[in-house]
Amino acid sequence: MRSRLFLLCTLLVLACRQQSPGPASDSDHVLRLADQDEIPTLDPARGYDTASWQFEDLIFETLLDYDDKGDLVGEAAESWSASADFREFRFMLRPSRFSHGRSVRPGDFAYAVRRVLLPSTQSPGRDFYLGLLGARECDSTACDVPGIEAREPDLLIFRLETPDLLFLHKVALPFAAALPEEIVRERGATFSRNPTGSGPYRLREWRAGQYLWLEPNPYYEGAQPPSLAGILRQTGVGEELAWMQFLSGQLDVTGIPTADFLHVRGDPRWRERIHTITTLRTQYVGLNCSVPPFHDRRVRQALNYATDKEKLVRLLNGRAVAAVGVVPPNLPSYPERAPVYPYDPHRAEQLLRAAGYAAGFETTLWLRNDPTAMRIAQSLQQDWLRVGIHVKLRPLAWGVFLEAIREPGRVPMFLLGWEADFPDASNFLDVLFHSRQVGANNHTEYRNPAVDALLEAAARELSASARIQFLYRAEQAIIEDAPWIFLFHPSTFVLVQSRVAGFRLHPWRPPRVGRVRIEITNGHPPEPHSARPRNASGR
Amino acid sequence: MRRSAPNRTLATGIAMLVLMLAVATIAPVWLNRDPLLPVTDAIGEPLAPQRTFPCGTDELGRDVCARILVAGQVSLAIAISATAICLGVGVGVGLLAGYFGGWVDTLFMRFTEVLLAVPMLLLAITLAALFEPSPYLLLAVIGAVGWTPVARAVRAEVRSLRAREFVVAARAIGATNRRILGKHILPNLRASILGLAAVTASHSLLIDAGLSFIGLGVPPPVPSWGRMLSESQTYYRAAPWLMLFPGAALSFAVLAFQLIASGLGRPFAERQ
Amino acid sequence: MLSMFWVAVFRRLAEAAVVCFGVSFLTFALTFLMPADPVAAIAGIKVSPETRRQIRQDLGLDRPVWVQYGLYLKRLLRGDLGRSFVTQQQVSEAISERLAPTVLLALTAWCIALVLGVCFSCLGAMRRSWQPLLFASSSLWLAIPPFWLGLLLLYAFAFYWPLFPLGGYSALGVVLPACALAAGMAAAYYRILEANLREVLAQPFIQAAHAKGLPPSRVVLLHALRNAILPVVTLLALDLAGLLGGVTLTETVFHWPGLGRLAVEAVFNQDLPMLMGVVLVTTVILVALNAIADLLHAWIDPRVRQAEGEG
Repeated sequence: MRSRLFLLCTLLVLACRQQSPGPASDSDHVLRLADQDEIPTLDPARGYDTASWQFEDLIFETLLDYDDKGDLVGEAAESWSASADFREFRFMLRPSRFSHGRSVRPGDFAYAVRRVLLPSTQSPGRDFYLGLLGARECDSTACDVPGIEAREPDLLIFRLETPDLLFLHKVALPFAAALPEEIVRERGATFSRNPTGSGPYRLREWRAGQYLWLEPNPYYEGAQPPSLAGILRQTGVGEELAWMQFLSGQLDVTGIPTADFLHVRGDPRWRERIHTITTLRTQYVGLNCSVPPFHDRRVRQALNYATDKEKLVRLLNGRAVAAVGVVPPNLPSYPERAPVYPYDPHRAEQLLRAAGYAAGFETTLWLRNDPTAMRIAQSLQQDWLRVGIHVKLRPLAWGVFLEAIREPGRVPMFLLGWEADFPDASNFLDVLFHSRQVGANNHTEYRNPAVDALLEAAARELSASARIQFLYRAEQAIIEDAPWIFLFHPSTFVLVQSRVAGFRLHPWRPPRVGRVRIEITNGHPPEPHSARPRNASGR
Repeated sequence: MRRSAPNRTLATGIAMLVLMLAVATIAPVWLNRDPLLPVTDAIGEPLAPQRTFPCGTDELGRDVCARILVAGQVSLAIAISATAICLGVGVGVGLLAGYFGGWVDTLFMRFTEVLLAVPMLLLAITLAALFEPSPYLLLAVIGAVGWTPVARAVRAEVRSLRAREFVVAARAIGATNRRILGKHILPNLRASILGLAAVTASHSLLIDAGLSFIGLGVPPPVPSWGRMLSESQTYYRAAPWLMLFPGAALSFAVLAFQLIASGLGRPFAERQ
Repeated sequence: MLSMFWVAVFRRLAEAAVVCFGVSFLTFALTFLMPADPVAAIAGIKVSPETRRQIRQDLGLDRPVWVQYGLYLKRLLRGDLGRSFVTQQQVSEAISERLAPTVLLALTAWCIALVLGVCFSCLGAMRRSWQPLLFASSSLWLAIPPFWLGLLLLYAFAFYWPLFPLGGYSALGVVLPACALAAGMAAAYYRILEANLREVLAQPFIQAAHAKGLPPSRVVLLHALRNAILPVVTLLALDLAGLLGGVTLTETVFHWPGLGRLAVEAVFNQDLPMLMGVVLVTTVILVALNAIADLLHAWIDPRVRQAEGEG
């Protein structure tokens, strides 16, 4: 008996000793973050999600970037120019170095874009750069794109087949960040876990499921020198745990748990440290225009009238702005719109009666199996019940759900959101409502030749203001046709410790945490418990 | 005196179960409050228990009390039928495998290993995608997960029972296998089976919660205790009543099942 | 005799191989039955159909299922578990990183549950007057979902009284998640063990032991307990195997880098290589523990050994 006990103890001790040491913070100037989701990749060609972009932005440099107002500014490019027909773009680079010491050349940007275009890279950003001259001929054997010209030492030229007003935004996407070809080739598939770039920070250690640790890039020469001694991002920390860690001073930035939101917002202690922004995102219920009864426009309009959007905003504790259309309200230089569909169950009933559904009908709402989505769906279910529409919910895993809504004519109505990659209405309207997108992103099978014509006119138009007018008119027609129930635009709320200065949220990019400063007042610990970074894994 | 004790246990358990069933059936009518629609304007901000809402309201403004009562019908139905399925299959398989041994045993046991090792989440997602959600599908999934531990426990016990004197003796006087299993082995398993039944019942009450998020459980907004528990985890500090009342109902039900199990299990032990 | 033993061992190994094969086949088949596109997890929802088709082709997902499965087995025989579709990490590397934390948490939780279960069932069997209390409280613990208990424990013992770290992988940090997991299991063990104990205590050989004048505690601990644990041994092994396969919710609550989170992410992302790898490891653990439980069973209960010998 004793010997068995001993064996068990030995096993336990062995298991304990195997554990990781965890990062000991070098100094107090380490910014501590936490999130639930793992960072899928740090390879700029492959990352296409908030978490990947947040850290790619720190490790890599793109030619252009956005300032806090959302205007394009140079990052690796000192100056740039576009030809009058928007088919040729020239970038003058400023001196810069990768984190292994080599200086950045125009060819490093050219290589990055060619790599994205190469089918075997499996880059989700490939479609953005297919407008480059000869990009479509790029296949697995050769990828010599004539539309990209790198002139040493500091000039980079992109030439397009057709004019593209948005190309500068596409260059600002992390897909086009400079890559050191020799290192990418050497590391192969492991580059995504062990990246090297020319951004202000570089990777120090990455333990999957535990933490990602960045340190300053010693060779960085750019305009945004690292202001922190490091950035430590824990992975797999739920909302609740992050909140407790934040309250005990172990985290610098956190979201606010749903249940605590109202009381935190009302607390004067926190008020000044809450940052908020409405995102370039639209949550909607898609109504499949080829599935009865939604083929009838009156039914779709009725559902818009029957949906209490303000109630949804209350359900989310005010963390959203009710939608009046497809395009979010804070899009730069886009006209203001008046609400078309107020909450009006009477009007909804009239429209249903006119469409021949006086007794209501039954249908199914498909959604992702996520607690917030379930809450929203149940609220919608209650609203629609009042006008006689009985809706069953069909919660499904994300992949299954996506596959289902892509299948034509299968899903009558679904709950989904869309987030823009850059601040332009066409990134909503053209991608989601043009009839050529049926089978791709136009899941509602909405087809309107007038809207198609307006969207195509906008794509050809070189004058910015005329272009916006075309897009605006297209959106008005879409709102009238109501292939969606326009729900809301979510807002992000973030709380930061008082020692963190210069934190800013961005409406369509992850917050630029590399630019914050940590200010430590000597003698007084600034936080209720302690601001000293207890180390992340709690050793 | 010692004889009456177990029966009292049994009686208490049954009384609790009957009480629950009665309350779950009658109270919703008497309370006359829709468990699915909001009863207050406080959306997004659950109301604490008060005179009009004895168990408070949830974030969608629904009355928690009404929901718990309706959930009781759903949860008890699931628990009872799921337990019956798990026990039926599990005891049958365990008996055969344990008693006959040999290749029957090997086959059954390896099969249960395969079932245990295939990720249930994957199975649940696939089923939810392929079929319309229904209570039968839910029962099938809980049954598929739940019968294996029962089968293994029963098999283990049968293996030791079949070498006992009374079984050997029965076999020596030429009793058929069916008679030995039915008259000698099965009655001896009662205590374990009933203990397992109580545990299985409480587990199936909770499994429903996880499955309903994947799309396999009772379709929302119809509540079940397990789902009320897991839906309210966001509010565990701000609105603990959302968790407390369904949790208490669930505990009460588990206790009732266990009292019944224990009350049924005892008389035999003493008769021996 | 020795050869008999080896024959038995080889038979068991062959059976284990069959089980592993069956599990891997079923997992593979289920992933393909699921009407979902693994490319969506890799490339996101915004990607054009052409790019999606291209990625599918590059991963070999456009080939027939049996070809893919054959290729998978071929690579597996060379010891290559492949790379994750999503993170590009070596599957073997990802799993081995998670193994130590998983084992630590599983063993701790299991030991706590076992010790508590045994202690309380003995207590309940010896002190009849305590029984109602133990009984009622065991129902309570069975009804509390582990993640909720986990949150409460974190709030109380890591936040309000900072005795333990606020989540994360460390020696001290294992205590709270292990307790959260063990509570419900201990209650289940108590329920089953106590029922068995009471039955055993009513049997003649125990009465004989009492008659010999042995103190009651000795009778319970030495004679009755062994017989009461017997039917539970396989259940215990299964529970340990379950814990070693990962406990997703508890791992999530406590920010514990275990296999459970890895497995669930793999299922939701349809990350086929990762999923197959985790399932393979879990199956091996399960099969091994089952074999050990069978051996242990025979060792505790001589009658089973005898029956095996005869059969």
